[in-house]
Amino acid sequence: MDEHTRSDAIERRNRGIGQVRTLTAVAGVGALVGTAALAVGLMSAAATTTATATTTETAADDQASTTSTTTSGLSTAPSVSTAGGSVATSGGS
Amino acid sequence: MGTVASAGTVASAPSRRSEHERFAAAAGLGTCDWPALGTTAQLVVTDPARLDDARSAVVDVLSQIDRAASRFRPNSELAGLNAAEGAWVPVSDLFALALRTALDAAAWTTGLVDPTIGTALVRHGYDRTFAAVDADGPALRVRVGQVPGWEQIELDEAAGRVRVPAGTLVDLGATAKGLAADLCAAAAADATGCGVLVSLGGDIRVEGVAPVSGWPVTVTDRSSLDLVSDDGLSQVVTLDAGGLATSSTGARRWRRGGSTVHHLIDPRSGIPAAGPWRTATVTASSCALANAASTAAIIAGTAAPGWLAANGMHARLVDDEDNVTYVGAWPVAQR
Repeated sequence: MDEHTRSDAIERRNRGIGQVRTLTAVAGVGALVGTAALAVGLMSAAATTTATATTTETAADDQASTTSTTTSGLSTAPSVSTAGGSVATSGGS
Repeated sequence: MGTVASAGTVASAPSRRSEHERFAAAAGLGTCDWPALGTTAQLVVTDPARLDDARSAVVDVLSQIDRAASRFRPNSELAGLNAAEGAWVPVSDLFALALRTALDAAAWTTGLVDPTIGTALVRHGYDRTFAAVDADGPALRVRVGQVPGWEQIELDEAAGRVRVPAGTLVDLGATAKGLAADLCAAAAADATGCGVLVSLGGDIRVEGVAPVSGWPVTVTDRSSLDLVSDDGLSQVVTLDAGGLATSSTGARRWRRGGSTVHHLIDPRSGIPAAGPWRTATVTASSCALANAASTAAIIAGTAAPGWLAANGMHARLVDDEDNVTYVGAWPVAQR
């Protein structure tokens, strides 16, 4: 990548607000997705200027939430489990 | 947390590991787990007789990924690239794939997920394996500003080489684990011919023929199998195909100068994302894509639901007040 091309790339990034991309135009992710979809750009041109630290606590909630209605319409959507247990956990790591 | 036994003593609640093992055995599934990539690898197969073969396949892929993409392994390809001071560096096909995935994720999210956050992570104290990061420490002096930007990375796939500007550190944490789950599941399914679930710290990919009722997965704040099985705000959903990933500010967090910091860096500011989401879980056709989307959701903040919906994603977002937001066709839990 020469300097001119690099400058153009950075300029495009800094214009990112409202940018719209098609996933299929991005080869690798397009292959991973397998379907066309729109990605709406969110990259703000303005850097955040205040330093903050996130403080979060994983407060327990004693309401089990294992029953729900299934609204799945797409193949990659999960559905509610009726099995009464699980074989894996997805959370932060 | 404990449960009160009939004799009045407090008994330890079962861990997720024991719950998963018990449920898998009842369902005729084989399961095992072991430490890997700084987290826990978990493997579940529909044919318990093939569990060892599946594990061998997964271990082999994880070893390759670790040698290619670990930020903390001194002789990894990534460590070599980060130390190259702007020179072209020859890379393996696997590293090129991992970097291509990271760059595609960056392009897709228009920079919300950016592999050039390495320096920002180091400045915040995440400069060694997370287990070795001090839980508490003195205040940090950090630079607030955009990270160098993924566009600075030059990947020449035809020639098998990469160049990164001097002073820019690459971190593939937002995508490499998801990609690894995809590759591991494919390898295990190929090796065994049975249904496979691979979880790398909660980044999950399923391959092959799923159990009749699908793969039941608990979605929650933390992936640790050593925690109790019911530790609060969680939901069990069933996957039939594809990947599922969770990003959370509640994990990989530490304290400096009395403030809590975490590993999900906002590339726009170079500091940890401010919220409002504590946890984002996304399903997609692959774990790499789900992983990129869940990270982007945390970074995007209040814009995340709209962004996810525009991309056809199914997601579950939990904010700092325990409010749950559902996106797409994610099943709504009854509270």
